[in-house]
Amino acid sequence: MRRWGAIVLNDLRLEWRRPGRVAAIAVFALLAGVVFVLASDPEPEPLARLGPGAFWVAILFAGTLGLGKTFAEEERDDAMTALLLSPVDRSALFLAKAASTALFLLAVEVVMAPVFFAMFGLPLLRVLPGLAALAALATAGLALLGTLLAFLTARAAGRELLLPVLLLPLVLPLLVAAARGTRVLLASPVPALADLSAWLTLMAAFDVVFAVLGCWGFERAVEE
Amino acid sequence: MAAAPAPIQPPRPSPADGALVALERVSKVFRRRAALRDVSLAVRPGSCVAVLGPNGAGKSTLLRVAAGLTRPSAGRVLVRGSERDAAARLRASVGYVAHSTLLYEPLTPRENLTLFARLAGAAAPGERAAEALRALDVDRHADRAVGVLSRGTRQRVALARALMGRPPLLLLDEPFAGLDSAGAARLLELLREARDRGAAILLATHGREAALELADEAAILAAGRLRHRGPVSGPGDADLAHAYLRATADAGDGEPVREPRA
Repeated sequence: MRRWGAIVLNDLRLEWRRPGRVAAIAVFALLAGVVFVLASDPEPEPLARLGPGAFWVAILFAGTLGLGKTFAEEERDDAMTALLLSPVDRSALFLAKAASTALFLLAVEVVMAPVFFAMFGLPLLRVLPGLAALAALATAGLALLGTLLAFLTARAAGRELLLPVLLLPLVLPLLVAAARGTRVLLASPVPALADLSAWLTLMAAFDVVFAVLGCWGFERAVEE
Repeated sequence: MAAAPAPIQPPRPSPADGALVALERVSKVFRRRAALRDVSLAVRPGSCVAVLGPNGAGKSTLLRVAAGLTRPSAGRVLVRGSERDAAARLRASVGYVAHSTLLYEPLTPRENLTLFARLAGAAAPGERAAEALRALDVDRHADRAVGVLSRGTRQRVALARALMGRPPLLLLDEPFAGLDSAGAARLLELLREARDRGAAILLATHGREAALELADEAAILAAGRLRHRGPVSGPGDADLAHAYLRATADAGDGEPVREPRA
């Protein structure tokens, strides 16, 4: 646990030392929101209907930009080899990298959610607890799958294209569940828990599958 | 009358006996290109084996296989005589130097070494890092980002990371690259100390002189094959120089591996 924490803290320190990734991704996500608003029907009702889907699509697109840089510092002068030579379990190393990715994505979501919801005229405070649960599961799933794919494509030619091409179809169930869950939250002042829990269960299952697959795949991929 | 039972013969000593790490008939193929072919090599505690050969001979691949970073396509890697969990057991005991520094450029040498000391489970990672930086005489650069340091200073920091915590196995790929004469002399001194303390050293280089100051045994690789293995009498070993020239000239003709001399 101490070693796992050391890797996460190190990633946070690197982000702090070279700031800009979180800010750039948040700005991209907000610009995507502006594009959605300008391109859609300006009436409040259609805009509100579009909001949940647009919110999660913007997070996914912006997150994809950030995921491509997950192993950038490790690749620069091969610090990854030093990490792999440390007596740290490969699964712990993968989960630590996924955890720091999830923290970056959460930071982006915290910055963009109030602005995005205001642009689409959606009541953020009313849905906040449910949205936080959806965001936690969606972010974990995106980080787990994204970290695995970012590692697999880190040394590939054309990795900038390869990562989204692989990520987007695989992450679709998570995106759909997050958008539908948010729609359930917004549909009524007291959303039916059963409706929401179905989406939460689907997302939790996605996370478990990609946590297991990620640990297994990473362990095999690190040994050439 | 029953024949007298044959006396029990003691097992023939294998080249891997007593070795900290041993490669047995290891081959490695990358996309149909053989980087290593049927290489057997062992390094014992308290000894240094110099792996010599021209660029592209397979030295770096051999070190990566020995470190457990690359899985051999054929053959096996033994750690203290056992193949079981060899890669995981190696991770706890290896100091590794590669062509890259294996450091985070935005971090300082102190931050880098403290991180890796912490990951290695050191009780006082900061102190261990400071001690390692002092040993390589780079403590005055300890708090500047690695990315702004000179090539030679980065190499010293990379060596400090590898030697930190006195690992029992040192796998060094061109460790003298980028060092000035004072740095090279200091490194030789530290490696001699490590060997005398019982560390096993596998040192890959295409320059012979500094390596042979330290090595007890030399192995010559050419085109992925082990062409020669034998003891070293010193930096001016004429036999070895001759073997090197012959091995590199003959590379690729399929000549079998020569067994070590007595």
